[in-house]
Amino acid sequence: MNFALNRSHFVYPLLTLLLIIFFVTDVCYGTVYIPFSEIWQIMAGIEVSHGNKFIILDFRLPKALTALFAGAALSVSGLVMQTFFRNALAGPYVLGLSSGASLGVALLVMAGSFFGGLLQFGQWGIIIAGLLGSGFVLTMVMAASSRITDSVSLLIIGLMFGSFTSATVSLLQYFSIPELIQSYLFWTFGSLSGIGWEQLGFMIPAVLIGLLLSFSLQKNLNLLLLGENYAVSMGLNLKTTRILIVICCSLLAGVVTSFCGPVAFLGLAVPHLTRGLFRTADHRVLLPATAMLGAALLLFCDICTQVPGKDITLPINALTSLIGAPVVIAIIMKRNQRL
Amino acid sequence: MLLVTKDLTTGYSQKKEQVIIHEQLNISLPEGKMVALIGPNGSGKSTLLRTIAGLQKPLSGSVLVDGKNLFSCNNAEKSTLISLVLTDRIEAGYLSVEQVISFGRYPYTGWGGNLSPADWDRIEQAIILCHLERLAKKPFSQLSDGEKQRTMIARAIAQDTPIVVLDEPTAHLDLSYRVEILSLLKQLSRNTNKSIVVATHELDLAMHLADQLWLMPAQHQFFSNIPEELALNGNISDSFNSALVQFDEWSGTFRINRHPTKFIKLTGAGPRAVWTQKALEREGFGIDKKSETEVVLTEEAWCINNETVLTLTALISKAKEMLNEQA
Repeated sequence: MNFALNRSHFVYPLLTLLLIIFFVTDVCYGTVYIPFSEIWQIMAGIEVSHGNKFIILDFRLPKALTALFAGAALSVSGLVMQTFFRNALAGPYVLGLSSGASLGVALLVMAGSFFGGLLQFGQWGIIIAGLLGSGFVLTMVMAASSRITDSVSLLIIGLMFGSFTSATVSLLQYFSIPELIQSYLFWTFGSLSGIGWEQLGFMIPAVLIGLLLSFSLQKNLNLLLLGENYAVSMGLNLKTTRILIVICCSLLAGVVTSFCGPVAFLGLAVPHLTRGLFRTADHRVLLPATAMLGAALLLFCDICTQVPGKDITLPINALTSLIGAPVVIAIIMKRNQRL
Repeated sequence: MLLVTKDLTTGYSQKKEQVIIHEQLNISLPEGKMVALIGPNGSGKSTLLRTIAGLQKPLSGSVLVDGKNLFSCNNAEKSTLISLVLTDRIEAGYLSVEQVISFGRYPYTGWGGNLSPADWDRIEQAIILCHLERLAKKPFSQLSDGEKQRTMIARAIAQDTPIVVLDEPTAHLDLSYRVEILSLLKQLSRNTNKSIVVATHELDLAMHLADQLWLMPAQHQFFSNIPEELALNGNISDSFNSALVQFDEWSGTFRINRHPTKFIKLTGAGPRAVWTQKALEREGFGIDKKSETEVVLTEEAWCINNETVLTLTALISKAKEMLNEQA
C-alpha cells in the first residue's frame, strides 16, 4: 500500500500536468490555424475575429471538454466493470453497454418518428434513452453472470447482447425514413465534435454524478477483488452494490455513448494502463487515476485526429482503436504467460 | 461466545420440494476449540458449513450466536461474528500480502475503507500469529499455495470474529502444508480463544489435532464427540469401513483389506518386525502363527526357513520363490 502511495505522489502531479497540456493543446490545435495569443484574447473575452471566436468557443472548447469528461467516464466505467465481473477484458463495449445505449437512442430517433414529435424529447430524451438502454443490458449481463462462472462465456454473452441490439436496430432502420437512418449512421461512427454547450450542460453533470458514485463505491470495489463469496463474508451488501454499479456505469458509459456514439477501447484499455502505471489494485488510487488517465488519453487522441496541414479530420474511433488494440493484445499475452 | 444450533434442519428447496439433509441437529461450538467436520462428499458437509456460516438458510430451526439468531442479522453484523476461509481462487494482481490481510478489517472501517492505527495493530497481530512477517510486503500472486492459504487465514484472524469457518483449507496442498495449516489452526484456537470449524478430508490429522469431531458418515447421520470416543464407540469404523478398507482400532489408521492365499510365520519384535510384516502383507502374504514357512529376525538380517538374507527386498523375493514352489 505504501509503495503505491509513494508512486502516486510522483505520478499524480505528472498526470495533472499532462492533462492540462493536452487540454490546452486540443483547444489550440486544429485545421484552422489560430495563433495562441489570439486564443488567449478570445478566452479573456476580448473580441478579435468573429469567425475565430466561434471556432474556439463554440467548437474546440466544447470538443475538448467532451473529450475530457467522456474519457474519464468511459475509463472509470470500464474499471468498475472489470472489478465487478473479475474479468480483465470487461468494458462498456464488450459487455454490450454501448450497444444497449445505441438501442435506446435508435429507438428514440427512429421509432420516435412513428409517434411524431421526436424533437420534443431533446437532450433529456437522449440521456434517458441511453441510460435505460445501457442499464437494461448491464442488468441482463449481471443476471447472466450470477449463473456463469467462466469469464469467457460471460464475454460471449455480452457480445451476443450486442448482436441482438444491433439486429433490433437494423429492423428499426428498415422501417425508418432515410434522413433518420443517416443521422443514426453518423452517430455510430462516434464523434466528440457534435456536442454543443446545451448538451454539455446535461452530459457533464451526469458524468460527475457517475464519477462521484464510483468513488463512493471504492471500498465495495476493493472487497470485490477477492470474489463475491469473500466480499459478502466481510460485510458487502451484494444487492445494493449491484444496483449502484448499474446506475454508475449507465450514467458513465450509457450517457456518454448516447451523446458521442460508441467510442471504442477506452473502457477496456485505460484501467489496465493505470494499474500498470501505479502498480496497485486499490481502488482508492485507481478510480481517480483512471479518470485522469482516460481524460488525458482521449484528449491526446482528439489532438491526433487533426491531420497537420490538411483539412482532414480522422474519426476518433480510429485513434482510440490504434492505441487500444495493441494494449488489449499485450494484456492477453501477459495473462497467458502467467499460466 | 458460543454458536449453538437449535433443532436445525439443513437442506435445500428444489422445485417446490424440500430436500432434507440433516434433521433436528442440536450441536454447539465451544470457545477456544477446533472442531473438524468430517464426512464423505455428498453427506451434507458443505450444506451444514454454509448454514452455520450464515450463507444458506436452514429449512427449519435456528443458529444462535451468543443468543442472537444468525439469520436475522444483516451482512454487516454477520461479518463481525463469523469469518470464512474458502477454496476460492484469488486473482489478486498487484495486491500485497499485507493488503489482502487488511481487507479483513473492512467490516470495521468507514465507507472509504481507511484503516486506523487500531486496525493496523490487528493486522500486524494476524501477520505474526500466522508467521507471515517475511512475506508481508510481497505480492500475493508470488506466494506458494501454502503461503496463500496462511494469508487468507490471517485475513480471517484480522477480521477478529469469535468464530472462524474453513472449508477444506488443505485441498490442493502438499502434505507438509496440510500439517502446517491444521497445526496453525489448532494453535490459533488456543492463542486467540476463537472457535474454529474446519471441514476437511484429513481424518488422520483431524484425529490428532481436533478437540472435537463432527462426523457425518451420510445424510441424516451425525455424531459429535472427541476423536478418541468416536474411535472407541466404533463410529469411525462404521462410517468408513468398506470392502476395501478397515479402521484399525489399535493403530488408529486405515488398513487395506487384503485376501492373502499364502501365509508366513513371523518371529521377532520392534520396528523391524513391523516393517517386515508390512512388506510381506503388501506383497500379498498373510501372517499366520501356524504356517510352515517361518521368517526369523536376527540381529541384522532375516532368516527364512533357515536361509539367511541381508535385505528386506531379498527376503521378499526369497519368500516368493519358496511359496511359489510349494504351489
